[in-house]
Amino acid sequence: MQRIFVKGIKGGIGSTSVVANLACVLKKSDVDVIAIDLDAKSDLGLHFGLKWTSTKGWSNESNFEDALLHFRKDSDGVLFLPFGDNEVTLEDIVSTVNHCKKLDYNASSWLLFDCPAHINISHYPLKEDDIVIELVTCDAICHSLIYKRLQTLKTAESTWKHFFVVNRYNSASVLEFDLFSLWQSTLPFMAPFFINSDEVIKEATANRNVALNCAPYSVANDDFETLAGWLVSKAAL
Amino acid sequence: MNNLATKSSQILTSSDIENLARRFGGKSDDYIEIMNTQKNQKTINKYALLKEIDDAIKTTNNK
Amino acid sequence: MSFSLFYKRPIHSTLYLLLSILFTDKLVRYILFKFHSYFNQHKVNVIEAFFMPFITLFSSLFINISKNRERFELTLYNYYPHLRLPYRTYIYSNIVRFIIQTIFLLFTVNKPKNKSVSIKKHATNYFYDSVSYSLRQLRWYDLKLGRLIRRFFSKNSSRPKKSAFKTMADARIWQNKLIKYIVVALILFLLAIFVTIPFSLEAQAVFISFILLVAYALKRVKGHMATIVMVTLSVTTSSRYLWWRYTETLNWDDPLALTLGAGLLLAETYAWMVLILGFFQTINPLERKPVMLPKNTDLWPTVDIYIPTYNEPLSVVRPTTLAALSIDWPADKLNVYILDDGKRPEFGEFAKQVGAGYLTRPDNNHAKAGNMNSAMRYTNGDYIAIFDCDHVPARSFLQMTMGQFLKDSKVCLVQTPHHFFSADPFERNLNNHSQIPNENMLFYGLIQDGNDMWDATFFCGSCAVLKREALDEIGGFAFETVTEDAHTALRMQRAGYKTAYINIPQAAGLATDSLSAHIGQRIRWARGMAQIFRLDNPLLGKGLNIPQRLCYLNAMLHFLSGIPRIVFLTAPLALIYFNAYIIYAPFLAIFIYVVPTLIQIKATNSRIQGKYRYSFWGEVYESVLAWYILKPTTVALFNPNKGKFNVTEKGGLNDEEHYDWGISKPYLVLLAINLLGMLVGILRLFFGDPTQVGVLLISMGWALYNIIILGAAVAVAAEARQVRHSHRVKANFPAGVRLANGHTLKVKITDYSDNGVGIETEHAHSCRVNDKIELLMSRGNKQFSFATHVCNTRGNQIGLTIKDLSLEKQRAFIQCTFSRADAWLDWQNNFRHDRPSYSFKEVQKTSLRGFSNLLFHAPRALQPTIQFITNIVVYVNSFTPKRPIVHNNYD
Repeated sequence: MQRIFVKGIKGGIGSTSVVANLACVLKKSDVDVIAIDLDAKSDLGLHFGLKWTSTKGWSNESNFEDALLHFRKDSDGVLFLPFGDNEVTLEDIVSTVNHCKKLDYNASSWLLFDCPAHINISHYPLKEDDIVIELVTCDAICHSLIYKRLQTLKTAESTWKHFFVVNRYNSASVLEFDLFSLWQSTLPFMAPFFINSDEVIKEATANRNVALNCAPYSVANDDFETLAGWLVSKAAL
Repeated sequence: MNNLATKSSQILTSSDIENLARRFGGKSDDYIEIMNTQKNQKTINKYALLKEIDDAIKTTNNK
Repeated sequence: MSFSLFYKRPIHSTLYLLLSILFTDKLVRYILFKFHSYFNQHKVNVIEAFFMPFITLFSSLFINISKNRERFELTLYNYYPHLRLPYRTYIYSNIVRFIIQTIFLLFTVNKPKNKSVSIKKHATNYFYDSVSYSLRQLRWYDLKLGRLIRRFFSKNSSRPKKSAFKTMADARIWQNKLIKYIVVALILFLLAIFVTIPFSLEAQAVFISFILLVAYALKRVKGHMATIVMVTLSVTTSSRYLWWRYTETLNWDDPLALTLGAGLLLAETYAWMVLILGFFQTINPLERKPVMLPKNTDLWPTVDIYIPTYNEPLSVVRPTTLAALSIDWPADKLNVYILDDGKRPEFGEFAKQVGAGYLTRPDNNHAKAGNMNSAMRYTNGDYIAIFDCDHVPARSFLQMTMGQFLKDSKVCLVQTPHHFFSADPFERNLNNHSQIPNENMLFYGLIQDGNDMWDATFFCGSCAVLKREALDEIGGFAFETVTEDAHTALRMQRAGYKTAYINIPQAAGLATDSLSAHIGQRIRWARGMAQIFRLDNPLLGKGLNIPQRLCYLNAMLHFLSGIPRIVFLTAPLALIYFNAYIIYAPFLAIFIYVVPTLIQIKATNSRIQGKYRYSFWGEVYESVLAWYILKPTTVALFNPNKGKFNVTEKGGLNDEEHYDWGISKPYLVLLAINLLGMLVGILRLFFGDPTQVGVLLISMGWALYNIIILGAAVAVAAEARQVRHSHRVKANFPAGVRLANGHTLKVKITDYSDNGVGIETEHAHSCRVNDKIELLMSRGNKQFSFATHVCNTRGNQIGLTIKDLSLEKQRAFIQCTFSRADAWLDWQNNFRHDRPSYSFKEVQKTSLRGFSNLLFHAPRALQPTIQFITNIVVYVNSFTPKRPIVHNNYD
């Protein structure tokens, strides 16, 4: 099983919608996908068409066998596990991640974790095959956060595959263009592409769907395909 | 899974270098995208925060 | 009773009775109604209107008109497509057409279901069927045979992985000089025997048919070995032909025929030499691949880019400079210089703005070569890349070319093809841009690659990189001739340096925009070549090896094609007008020697040049230039120092479609004497000596061919209107747009120019004219965004205009479009391999166009006459029977 951890470098960068769209793209190219919501906001379900009233998830159960009951399948065939509305500790999250490894499912399937921004990635039980995607936007705060993160990444001797991916990129903005060019040519771990800012991603959530289904002709759609294709190539390595 | 990996060459970010390499049977990895250090330095100098971070990193590295 | 009825009543009442039986009330009303409708609505005259209902009624006795009406009209239209509409207006001429067509149809059209056909019709059907059947059969055999032969050959050639030529060339046996010379001598000896042994006519017929048979068998065989066999056969037949011409076909008794015949023979000798040298030149194109550079950019050398300009506007130089500045090369090792001989301050300002160097000099001596020599004093890069100011380089230019220098330190020049994104005058006036390979395609697609094999790549003045060290050694760019480029390369080769060619278009520019400018450019090249021949003869001087000398010789000869071409265009007239036997041989001998040899040569050339030059088009291109390069080359041969550098003017605009009478005058004269010759020939056929019919027919056939070629040449002279100020470049690469509402759409760029882009969306879009949208284009993994306006929409196509970009954005725009690494890649791949019959059809079509142009543009005084004659011709033609329209059942 290929595990992918998607996390925003700070809150509000749109990691949940990236997870939802990525899961959808992968599913459409016949990769079995299981998306696990590790974020206490518990909003991944909304992207997958879960009812607003169903608030329960794995956090409401004390052991993982019971949590299995909360798995849902969305209309595209993506399996997902909502977070729920109970407060959890870091240990709970770690144990859930570990339990997911034991899921009796297709061995070639992919596990996508929607990780909360505030928990440092090094707290997760990561292996060398795991891919961590840290989403950033092109702004000064992210610039400073990336440099901070790079220092810890260097010292922590990262054993997993770590990448920064730019989300909500708008090349018309001078600052964003400057920062992106700078990062592309100087930073390690930068993915060689970006996800374009697109109104469709926001609208799709409002319409209880993912951008992929709403606007198959959008550039954002292509971006997610690029992301998925790139991940496939990285996973194979 | 395979169709994803191959598809990426034709979609938006599809690079002209790949096309060029296909024409003469070379590898697009052999092509060297020049990084413009002067331009980068200009960007860093343009924004105060970037300059500060850059200076801080340089001093720590020198230590 | 009835008898008494007739008997008693007067005659008129009998008639009345009869009529009352025939014409019921209903019928009378019908007739009246029809009469009214014909008379009032269709404006038919009284008598016809009166008779028409009766005719309809009468024919309705036999056919069910109302039921078959539509089918009847359709049938009428299908079988009589040329009846003029409305039928009424042209009733009498239509009747004639109807009758002629009916007779024609009776004899030609075969209706398989119709049993009641006359015996004669049956016979014609049978004849046609059998002919088409046998043709089909023939084609089938042809295909099978071809496949069989191919299988046979491929079985043999599947073993050696290396090309047969290479294997042969690399064999150790060649290291022994004695063996090498013996083999060469043996081959030459055998060739000499084949060429010189006199054959009886029958033997020649057998020999030539054997050769044609082998050539035919090789038609479908791919691979290099088959090409070499074809070449060998062509060399043998053509040499044999020439030998025969020299030994047996000169009429020593008739001084006029001897003089004219000798002229033709010399022209033929020239053509033969060009043919043999051409074969030699292109026998094994090298097709060099780029060598990749080391990953460490510190090891890369420094490069200066020169953009020489004289009088071109800034709008032409700007894209080139911006593109040159963004070539992928370390910024500290790349310097771009505008070499301005026009000394215009705004150019200096522009250069300063974008970070390019700006160099001028006090004088303008020695034109472009002098300009670059003077620049070399101020710059000091290891290598010098040169772009004419309208050649926009791709960003990958240096990385594709520089590897050659690092691989081999003796390489002093790497040339890439000149590609033109606008149509050249030929293409524009013939309206066949990117349908027929253009004039310079043969040179850059094939000949340069062939030259490269022999280490004789020519320098073409632009889109090339030179080694400074080599230039310094020969004392800078050669400025003694008007073609400084070729001369410079020649000198460097003399000094022991190697030149290389990479057939990947890495820059593109504007083609010359008018025929006169185009011819002017060719005149310059021709004159320059002639000058080099005189001043620095590549055949005699030191330092070149034999293949290099031969390649240069062929290049020179190519530019001397003027006189021989004129000779070929007039040769058949010698017999028609003066009864001079310029080929003094019986009809049969001429037929057996000339025709198969020509077929063999054409087939071989088509095989070798197929993708780069279509059959017969070479003659058209050459014919247009022949007259004009004739004088300058001759003058330069005798007096090399005459003639100065003329700048090729580009990027201009022809205000309106006009006909260049000045340019086409020589061709009109040639055309006129050829046409007159045809007339004389026809007269002589009927009233002349019957023993001469065969030779006369051959001459007339040749003259007809010349007329077709000349017609095509004349067609080029009608200048087409060139409306756009900036040329649109066809493209096909993905991009995106972000609409005002924040939605994105992926689009395909279909064309672009320096101030606009055409895009196509995959499905319906909501853009309207004047909408502001952001265009997202990528270069490498960088995305650039451009603010654009929608200027037109049609279906999924949207036209965008880009206005008032900042300099930085202009640069980005050039980077995303003109200087894309793959922008010009598919220019050679668009063309199919040559099919001579198709190609000849195209030439014919073009020729017809030339004639119609000629009539259309004739002086006003002649217009009424021409109009009158055309009308007559069109009118007479409208009577000739036409083939019925056949619909297939699937429509």
